[in-house]
Amino acid sequence: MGYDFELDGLASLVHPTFDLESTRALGTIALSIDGRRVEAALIPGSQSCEYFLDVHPDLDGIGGIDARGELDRRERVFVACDGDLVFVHLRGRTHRVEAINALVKAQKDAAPSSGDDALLAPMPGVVVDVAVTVGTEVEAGALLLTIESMKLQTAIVAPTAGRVVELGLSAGSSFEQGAVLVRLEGLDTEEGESR
Amino acid sequence: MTSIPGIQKTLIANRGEIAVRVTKTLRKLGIASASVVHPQDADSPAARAVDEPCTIEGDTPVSAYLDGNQIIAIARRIGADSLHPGYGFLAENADFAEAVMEAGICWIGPPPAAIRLMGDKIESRRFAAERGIPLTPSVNEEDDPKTFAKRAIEIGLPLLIKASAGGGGKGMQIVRSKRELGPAIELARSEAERYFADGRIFAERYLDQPRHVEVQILADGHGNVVHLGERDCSIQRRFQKLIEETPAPMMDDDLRSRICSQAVEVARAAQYQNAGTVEFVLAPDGEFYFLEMNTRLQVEHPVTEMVTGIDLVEEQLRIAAGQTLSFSQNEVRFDGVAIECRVCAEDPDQDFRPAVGRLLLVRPAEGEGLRFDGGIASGQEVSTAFDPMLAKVIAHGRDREEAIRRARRALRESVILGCTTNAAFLERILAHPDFAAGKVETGFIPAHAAELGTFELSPDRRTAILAIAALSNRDFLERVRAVPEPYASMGAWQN
Amino acid sequence: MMHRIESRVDVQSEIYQRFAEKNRERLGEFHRRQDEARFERPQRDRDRLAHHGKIFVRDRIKLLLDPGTPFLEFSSLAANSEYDGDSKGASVVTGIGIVSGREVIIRADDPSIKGGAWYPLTVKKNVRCLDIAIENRLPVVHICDSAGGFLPLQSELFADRVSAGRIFRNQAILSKMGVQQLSLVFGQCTAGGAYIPALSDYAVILRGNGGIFLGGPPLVKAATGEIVDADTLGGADLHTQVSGVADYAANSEEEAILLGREIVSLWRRPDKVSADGRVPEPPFYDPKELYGIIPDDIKVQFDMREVIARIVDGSHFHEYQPDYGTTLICGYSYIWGHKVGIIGNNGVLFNDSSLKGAHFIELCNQNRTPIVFLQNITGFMVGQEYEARGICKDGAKFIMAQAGSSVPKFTIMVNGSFGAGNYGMCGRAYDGRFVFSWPNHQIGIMGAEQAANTLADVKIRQLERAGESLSEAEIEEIRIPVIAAFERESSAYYATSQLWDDGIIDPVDTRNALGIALNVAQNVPIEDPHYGVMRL
Repeated sequence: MGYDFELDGLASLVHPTFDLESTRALGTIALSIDGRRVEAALIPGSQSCEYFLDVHPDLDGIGGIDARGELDRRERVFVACDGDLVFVHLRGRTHRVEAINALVKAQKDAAPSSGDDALLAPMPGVVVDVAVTVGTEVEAGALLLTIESMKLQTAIVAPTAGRVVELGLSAGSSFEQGAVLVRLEGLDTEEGESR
Repeated sequence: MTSIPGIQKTLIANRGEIAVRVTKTLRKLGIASASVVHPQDADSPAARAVDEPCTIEGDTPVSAYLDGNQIIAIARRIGADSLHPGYGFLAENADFAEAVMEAGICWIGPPPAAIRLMGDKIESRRFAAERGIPLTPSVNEEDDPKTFAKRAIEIGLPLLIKASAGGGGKGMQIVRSKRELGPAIELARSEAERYFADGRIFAERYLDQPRHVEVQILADGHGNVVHLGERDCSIQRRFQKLIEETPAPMMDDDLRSRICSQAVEVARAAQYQNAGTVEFVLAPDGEFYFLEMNTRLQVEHPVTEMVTGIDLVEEQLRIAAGQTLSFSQNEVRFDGVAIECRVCAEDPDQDFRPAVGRLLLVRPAEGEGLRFDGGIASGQEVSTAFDPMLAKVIAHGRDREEAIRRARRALRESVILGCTTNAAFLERILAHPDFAAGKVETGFIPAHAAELGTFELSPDRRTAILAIAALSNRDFLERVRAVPEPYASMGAWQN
Repeated sequence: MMHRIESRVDVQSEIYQRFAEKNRERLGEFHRRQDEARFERPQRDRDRLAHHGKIFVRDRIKLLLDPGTPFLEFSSLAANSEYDGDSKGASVVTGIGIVSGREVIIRADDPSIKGGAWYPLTVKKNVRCLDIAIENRLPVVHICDSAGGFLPLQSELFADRVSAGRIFRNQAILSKMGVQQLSLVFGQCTAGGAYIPALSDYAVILRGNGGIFLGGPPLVKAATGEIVDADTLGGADLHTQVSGVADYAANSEEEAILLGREIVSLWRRPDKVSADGRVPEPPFYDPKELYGIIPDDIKVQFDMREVIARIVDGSHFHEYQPDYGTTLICGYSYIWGHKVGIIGNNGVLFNDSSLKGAHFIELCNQNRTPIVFLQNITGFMVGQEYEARGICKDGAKFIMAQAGSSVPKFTIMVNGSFGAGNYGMCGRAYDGRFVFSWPNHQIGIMGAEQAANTLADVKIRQLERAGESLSEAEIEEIRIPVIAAFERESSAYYATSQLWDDGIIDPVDTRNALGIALNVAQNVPIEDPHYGVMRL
């Protein structure tokens, strides 16, 4: 198990390796990055978002001292985080790294592709208002209809973007728990967030 | 008492970097500054720079800044005696200029008639043609819509279909074969209608490998017209300028002086006043053609300021206040080379798709010969509501090589975190040997797309960046710190 | 400040080299057997796993654990001497690992062996790991993927006090103690197996492969004639939407494991018993030198201080009564920063060494200091003189003090463990928290040679009474099979196969194994000590 970070469209596996006794006290963390072991520390600088990066390859590892390359030096970096995004300004270039929430990703990956989506009545009740008609294209979160049950009104909203393909009920109709209220058909859209 | 009689308080009808830029000059001259501020910009440097930020409302942020009546009402309410429109928004709206003047407010810009004349591309070309200014062959659709396509083909391919009311590359289509013409006309017309509410279009000869060269003009109300030299603005993407410089590279003095005098002639003929820019296309054979005149302060004006030492906004104010130009053409001195790079919130790897985000850090580079014109600050949201330009990095050098070197350093050392920008891409352009050699043309970016593409990170650099990301990610650190001793020290030991 | 043990080991010596060579050979065999038990599976079984989209049990555990943290596996060679070696590691992987920063016991069925069916020793290993959970208040993550009891051997695994029922009893006891359990249901949990998720506080079930039912489809058909498929009978959707037997449905093993990690991250951390610890420090002497210290022959004596020096922090040791009862080494030290009392054998137990041991155990209890026993014992001294001095009652005091201890006890089978010495030195029967053995370890009521001689003597005396006698060759004929049987049954591999310990470990791993053991032992407060009647 490791943690995924995405940089330039490529995912990388990063995990702590620890096992350097008491290095944590010095702020250094031993890491494995795509299987390569390094020790790294970020030392705060005097300005906002300014740090000094100390990153050393694990010299016990393969390659020894010749494997140092661009590492094994102290460099000034500017770093700022916005949620799961980390922006890094290193040597004149800004990089955007996204920390992938593995569980959210796994759940997304495993979720059945949105084909036909039936919204079932969560409880028996009466339709108060219908906001769409068959053929309406809706965005995720759009109001489809309002139902009332036990003196409580509930808004039924679209779980995903889609087109209404079935709507068996009109205002005033009553239904049992589990009845199909609306059926949505997934849209073939590829609107990615550009963030 | 200000140094310009009649101008005590100026309302800036704009936002972003140009509002900040204009404020600087107002402050220098002791003029009180005010600006209109949409709530979305409430925390922007522009809102903080002025003495009096005035809230402006609208259905969308853009519509607020386009609401002339509201702006004039604000100017009246706060007692502004003058109004600077910046660029974009209402800067080239003749009706607005007129309304401002009718309200008894000094309009810091050209006369409405000049705006009207030059604002209409078809009219302005006709005007230029009548005065013998060279033009690329073109035909208007409205002259005879039925034969438009036929007449267009007669000009010869490749062709450019443009919106009459256009600007900023919107509604512009290149046609390289007959078969492309029909769809291009349709597309240009619909874009023209969508962006300018004016579906008129025209076709003109498209020059291969053309350069975009423009001349900065200053004209007072007493018949004096001077030019402040030319700018090369050939480095463009999507017909929008990305890098501008002055003087234009690889241009001999004879050509330079011919272009500049031609520009002065256009301004004079149009009875132009205030700051303006005459744009030309320059063919590889040295022929140049009038393109249009921009009746406003240009985004790229700082390069001219850096080589001439003239504050263009100050001159605009003086001209608007009725003063005579304080210098003649031969008193204008040109010193060295200046280059401007437009840092935009966009992703060059994704076809320059606009990027959004919350700015986390804005830290301009400092140093000799550098200027950073920005209207952005940490904490600000970058949305697609406005133009994606975040800031302009301007570098001046004794020669072009020094200017390029300084601009590259400035791009590397300016830190903008929180939003994808084109800064590295701009630097790659400056680093390109053809750019260094002055071999610029408007097709430079597509022609060099391969070399300008993202270079792959070295494994070491990638490792370092990922280490930084891990070490600054809260969740990651929490997970690391959650591991108690002695387990952390033992590491991945297994029996 | 404690003294550092002054090692007398000469790593250049011929004897060191000879021992090292022998022990590396032993280690080679151990690792070979361990790798085989862990990873070697018939291709057919691997293919079946892949066909069902199942991740190999060890990879499931790897995904569950925090990256870069240790895993102390128990009894990796359990059942190696039984069932023709079919039940590798007794078909279940158990151990202590770190999940979301918490110490947990992981109990993972191994579906690559006969569908994860439980053999009698599987049940024993399961019960043992849940005993460890109870004794050390350790939360448990079950990865359930077992076909159920191995029916041909059902009589050996079902009915007894510590048979399968004990697994569920232990689960209930853990819950009663407030110790959390999570089940990740990756296969079908049928019959008794259904109770593992049902008795867990949290249960995640995999769509598709996961299933929980008291009776599977064939049994239902036989019992009531009802024809129903497994998913309808007890699949993820049924249990998470209708029955409430499980709490979360997952679409992949990875997703279930990540969800499991998040669930564990929400668990309260146990309050650790505060102990006077100090900052850990690696041993001054290289633990690898242990290979040159353990002799190549069980009969050769060595100094247990040399072993202590290669396990404890900084090789520091405060020796108690250094000049009294010198065949038993007693003293204080630190392991991974935890203060421990150490009791190690340096020869046979005499009256004085027994009394010294009993006294030192009382001191450790008074001080609430856990005790580590380092066994290399042939037994208590025999002979008229020692009987007359009351070796039996001195040995009884040692056993009484040790058995009555309330501090956590840990035993390392460093070498031999024979006769009543095993009892005094906290053998398996004395409920130490953990027992680990080294590959050279031998255990039995007596040594193989002594046993063979004893049995040969019995035979000779029987024949003598009948007026017959045995030739040398005939005596050897009696001795050889006895020696062979004893050697087999006294080997570390046989012992670990029967779960007489918690696993064979490489001697250099002793320090980490004890470090983890001492750390988890701190989850439980130490009771006030009191003892039975000491025969004075």
